Amino acid sequence: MYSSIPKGLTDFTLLVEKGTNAIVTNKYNPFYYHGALPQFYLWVLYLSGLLLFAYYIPTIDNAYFSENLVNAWTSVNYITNTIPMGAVIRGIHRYAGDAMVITILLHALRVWVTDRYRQYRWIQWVTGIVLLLLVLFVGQTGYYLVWDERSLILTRMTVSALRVLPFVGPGIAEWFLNGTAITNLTLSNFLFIHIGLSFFLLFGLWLHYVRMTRPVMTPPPAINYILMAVLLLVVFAYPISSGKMADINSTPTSFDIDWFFLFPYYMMAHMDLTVYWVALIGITLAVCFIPLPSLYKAAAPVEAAEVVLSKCVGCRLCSLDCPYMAIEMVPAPAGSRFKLLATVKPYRCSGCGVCVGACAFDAIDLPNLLDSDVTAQIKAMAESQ
Amino acid sequence: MAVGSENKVITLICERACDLSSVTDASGEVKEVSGLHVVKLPCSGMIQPLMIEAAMKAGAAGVIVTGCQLGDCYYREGNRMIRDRLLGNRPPGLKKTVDRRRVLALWLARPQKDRFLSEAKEFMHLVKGLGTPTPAPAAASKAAAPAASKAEDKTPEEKAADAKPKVSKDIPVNPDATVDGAKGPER
Amino acid sequence: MGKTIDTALVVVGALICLAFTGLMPWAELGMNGTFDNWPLWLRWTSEHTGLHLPDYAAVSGLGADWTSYLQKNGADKNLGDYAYSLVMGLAMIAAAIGIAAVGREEAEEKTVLPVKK
Repeated sequence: MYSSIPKGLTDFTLLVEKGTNAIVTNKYNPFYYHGALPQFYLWVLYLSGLLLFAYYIPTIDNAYFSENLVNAWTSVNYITNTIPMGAVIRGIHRYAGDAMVITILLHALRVWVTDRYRQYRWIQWVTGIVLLLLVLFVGQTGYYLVWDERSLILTRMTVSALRVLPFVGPGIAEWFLNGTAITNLTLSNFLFIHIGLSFFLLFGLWLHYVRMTRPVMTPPPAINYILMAVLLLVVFAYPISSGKMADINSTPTSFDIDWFFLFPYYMMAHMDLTVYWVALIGITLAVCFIPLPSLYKAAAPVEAAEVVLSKCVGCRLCSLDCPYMAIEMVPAPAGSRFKLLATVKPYRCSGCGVCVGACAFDAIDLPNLLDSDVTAQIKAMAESQ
Repeated sequence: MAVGSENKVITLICERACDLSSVTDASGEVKEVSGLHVVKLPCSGMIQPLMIEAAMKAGAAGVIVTGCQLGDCYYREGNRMIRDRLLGNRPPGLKKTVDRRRVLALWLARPQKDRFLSEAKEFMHLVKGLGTPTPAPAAASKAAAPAASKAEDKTPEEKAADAKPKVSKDIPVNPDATVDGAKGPER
Repeated sequence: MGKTIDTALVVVGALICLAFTGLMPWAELGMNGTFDNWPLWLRWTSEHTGLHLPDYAAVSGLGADWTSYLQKNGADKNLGDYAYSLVMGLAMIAAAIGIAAVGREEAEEKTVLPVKK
């Protein structure tokens, strides 16, 4: 029910969507694909990242400022200034990352406003928050890879923040640096994290999708063109250039901040590091626990569908139709006329009744709303004077 | 078979589609449009074609199925499920004896109450023009006989459903009854 | 939609297609259509076959605004690539509008069941 959400926000959202439907119809309404938009940007990131990876060199050597110096910064420079379309691909990669954070936040907002995160949907919510954190971290490692002065500042800030953690701090900082100081090994570690973690996202996405049948992962092509076009226009409007090459013997102090990914560094710079960690972990846990009350104290607890085993013929329609993968076909006991019988996993059931609508044998029921009662109600209405 | 003194249209609507609570009274009748009754379900996907057939058999002039906007079902797919069932793209489907002109499906979001009322009024005019519905089982079985003879058109599920002894809901059925009627219903 | 509106939309769409078709190679050439900027194979073809293609030096000045904007915002080399990105983005938006305009007939808020004969 919408009752626990500020009603004004929901009404506003529905009105905006109604207006959008009037212009582009429900077939092309981007609000109805809010989960698929970040997924599209993920594919763009993989592809553009692959192209950049072909020319990127993860080293920090700058001891000899010679003409043939080859390190991360010069390789990025080479991509931007020499490779045909290199600057555009770099821009696409960077802005697709920003776009992914924006679309994830909009997705999370719509999920919250339309009340699609509670009870049987809690895994989607929690994995979504974890995925957002992973995306933010992957994006930050992307900023380290350029190895300009900003990268150097960010790396040092991260190391000092990690060192503050109790017990594990110094160990994690050493893992992060791949040693005790910034070396070439550090930058190849950053590259490994950047690529490895971004593929780990696919595992997280599997968890995010696993309790949904036929998840909507692809917006229609017309929307995909607009999503891509936005990136291309922004690449023109805001060309990307690197800062000065990093010199580990220097201590630069300021950098341009990309608010989508680097806001934690703003926090780090303006508060005590312990407070920073407490705030970060606290806010993450609080957001993850948003569906918790509904799991144990729901206002309208779900009464899961129940199969009437004597009537089930194993036609699989309820299992195929269930939107939340809550019905599983199991082998029928020996001696049964049928091969399969349906069983409901009650903790996944949403109480929607799509299974009831799918069953031609009256073999599955919602306990609080029997379809025979509904049919009786319909008949009574039709027959009354 | 009791036929209402006015044409009755039953609306099967889901809880999160257009919000009709302001125009519906406690018994489910819509005050503005005479003859329009509303039955609420958690999701339009819960609608069994059986319910539509029952409504027609009981004398309703038409049935309106209403769900959320396509693409925005609160339970993800319910509205597409019932839409596919009505169009015959997904089992179970509507029996061939049901007059397709008397079934309308609307996919409306919560603020679209006015759109619903205007479509419902138009639909009521339409079904009035179609004349008195013929819910009599005799007519239905005459039409069903040639339909039933085309056995190869039916899916195995429908064949099994036809093989099941047809009992009405108010006669107790032996819970141990199997599809081939080995232990038949007690009459 | 009346037939005249449809025809007008088709004409406008065709003109937009032609415009983008011309803008993209211009952008790829660095917004400079003079003969010297063409790719080698095109220059060779123009010189050695009967196909004498004209020099588009006149379009070289068109990119001045875009060039100055890009340079002001930190872009250094390959300015034509950025221009190509802009033109491609606009082309994609036009394509999306075209697809949605055709496809919106199929979207529905109302389903009337087809009556089988």
